[in-house]
Amino acid sequence: MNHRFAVFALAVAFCVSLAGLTPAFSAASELGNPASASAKKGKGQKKAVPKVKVFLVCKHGCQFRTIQKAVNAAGAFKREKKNAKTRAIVEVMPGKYVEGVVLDGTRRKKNFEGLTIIGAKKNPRKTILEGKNAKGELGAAQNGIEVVDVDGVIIKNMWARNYESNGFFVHAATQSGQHCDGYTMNNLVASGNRSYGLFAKGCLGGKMLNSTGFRQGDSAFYIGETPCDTTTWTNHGTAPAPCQAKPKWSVLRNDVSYENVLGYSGTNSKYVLIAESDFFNNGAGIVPNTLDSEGYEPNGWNVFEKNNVFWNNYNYFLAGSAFKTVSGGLGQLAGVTVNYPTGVGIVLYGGANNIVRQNNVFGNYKWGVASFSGPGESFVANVGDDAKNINNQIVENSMGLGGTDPNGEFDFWNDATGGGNCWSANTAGSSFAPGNGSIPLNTIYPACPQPTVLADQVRSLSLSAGLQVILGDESNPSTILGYAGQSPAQNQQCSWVRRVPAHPPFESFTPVEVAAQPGELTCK
Amino acid sequence: MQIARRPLPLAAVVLCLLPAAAGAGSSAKPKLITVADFYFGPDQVTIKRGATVKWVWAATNTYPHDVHLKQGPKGLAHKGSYSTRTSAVTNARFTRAFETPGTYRFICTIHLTQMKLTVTVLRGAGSS
Repeated sequence: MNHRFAVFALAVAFCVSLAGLTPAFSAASELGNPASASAKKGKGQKKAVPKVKVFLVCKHGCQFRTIQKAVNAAGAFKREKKNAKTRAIVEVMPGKYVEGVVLDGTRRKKNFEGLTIIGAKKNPRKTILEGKNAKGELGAAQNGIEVVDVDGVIIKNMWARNYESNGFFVHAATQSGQHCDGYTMNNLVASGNRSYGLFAKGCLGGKMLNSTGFRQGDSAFYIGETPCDTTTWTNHGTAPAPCQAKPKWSVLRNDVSYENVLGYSGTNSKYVLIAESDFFNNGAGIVPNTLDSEGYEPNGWNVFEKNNVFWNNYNYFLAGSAFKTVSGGLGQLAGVTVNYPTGVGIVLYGGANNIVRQNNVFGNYKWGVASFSGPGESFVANVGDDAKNINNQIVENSMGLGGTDPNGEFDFWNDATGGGNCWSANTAGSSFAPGNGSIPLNTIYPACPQPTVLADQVRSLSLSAGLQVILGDESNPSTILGYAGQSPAQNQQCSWVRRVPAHPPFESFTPVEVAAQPGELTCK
Repeated sequence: MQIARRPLPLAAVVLCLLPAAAGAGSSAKPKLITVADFYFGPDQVTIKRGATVKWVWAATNTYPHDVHLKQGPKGLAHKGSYSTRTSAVTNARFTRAFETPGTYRFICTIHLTQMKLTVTVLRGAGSS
């Protein structure tokens, strides 16, 4: 190559790079090549080429040195009418970015709709959002990326760690008119965040795919407060309408969650599909729940299928835990703080019409799948009595890894409240918690199908079965109140049952438990 | 001996005047509001014009909260500056001075039915 021409070419490339144009090609390879999109549709017919504008971020030599500045520029760019059809991509080169990024969709001078923020490398651990020492509007940066009132945002190939609140947080306010529909979080890692790893709240539909979360103070994956068609929606009454007439689903697939308080938590979440994911070494694995803390109670109409849910025996209440819980638990009941139960694979708390099927549940020291209501009658654990387990199906699950790694006390535990729930075609020989024997086992765990019940037809309190609570023996750990209300909380471990001396190997995973220090457990 | 009087430098004049101009209001401690899981504490405060309110997020919080001005006095300028742009769980604070008398109603937009705060700013200028 002619030397002068080479210098000229380099100079041009540099200028173009500064203008933020060159990376369009690299982004295209990751997001769908515009060149291929422009292939001829037919003779003489050209398909419209999607225009792409890339805002490149790197520590040195790029147009932007922080992700926030690139995001702001992209938002301003998209605000202009002439750019409405151009796709904006913030591409982040490998490196560590000590900042908290905010996409505030309520700002009039920016348009973040459909914005893509993507790490340039497929390995998400190469592009790090670091929360330690990161500053934000209110002091410490709260989230790696916070998206407020924006539809269709895509976040990909990044690692957010050590934030005061969450790794990746997409949300709408519960005010009418705000929404965050159709987000995509793909190939992300979240770790060491005080609350949640990947978090969506108040959104209609979205995706959390191919992502990993570990050592969060609450859950690695969280979908909360799924909105309904009307803000006054309720599951009470004689003919409750569906929350959404045309449900928009949230999909979690091929995710990995380990060493968190909860693998997945979904307060008042609905239309959530969790499939083909791994939940292990957490306090508890998959935990949809109904709480007063968020709107649109209860949780329900979710599907959890084909997941591996195992070894969820991480006692984070012990001093040796690698992370601290921030969970407020399930609240106060009869003067007792009720925490989430540990040592449990799947917990259905106060949910309606959930389907738990074809999961592989093993090696959880307390229970494999537990289901219970929050008594809102005499005990007022849930104001409005919204947390009733009704019409849930627990079917075709494999329990205990073919007998080599059984769940501890029981495979299935149900508190005999609610109604319309059923258990069928799970591994033959699975164990079921019987309670005090006053109610037949096939009444506590009836086979599918069962007639659908209305929430107001059934009760959230059952004192007869001896499973929810035993009056006079309230701390009995065979009941949910006794177990989840253990004081000190780390004593939940006292009633764990280890069926085998050591877990047999499973894929490439390693069991992790917290060692109790002398005197830390005060088992009777 | 006659001592020549030199005019004070402008900066010195400004420095001397500053405390007086700022008035007692700015030296007063800000009114603290705790932003806790599902409440502002206290949920009603009364201050004098020019006084400052400081919101501090509780260390025990589990859930994210923000501060949003839902309704302010008529003709309030820079209304947006009375709201946070982001939410926070803990280790956060937000400070705002109130120069316009009237009633300010705040909410947390994430928990708007539970978290409400009224700030009443009195007409009396100066100290809070």
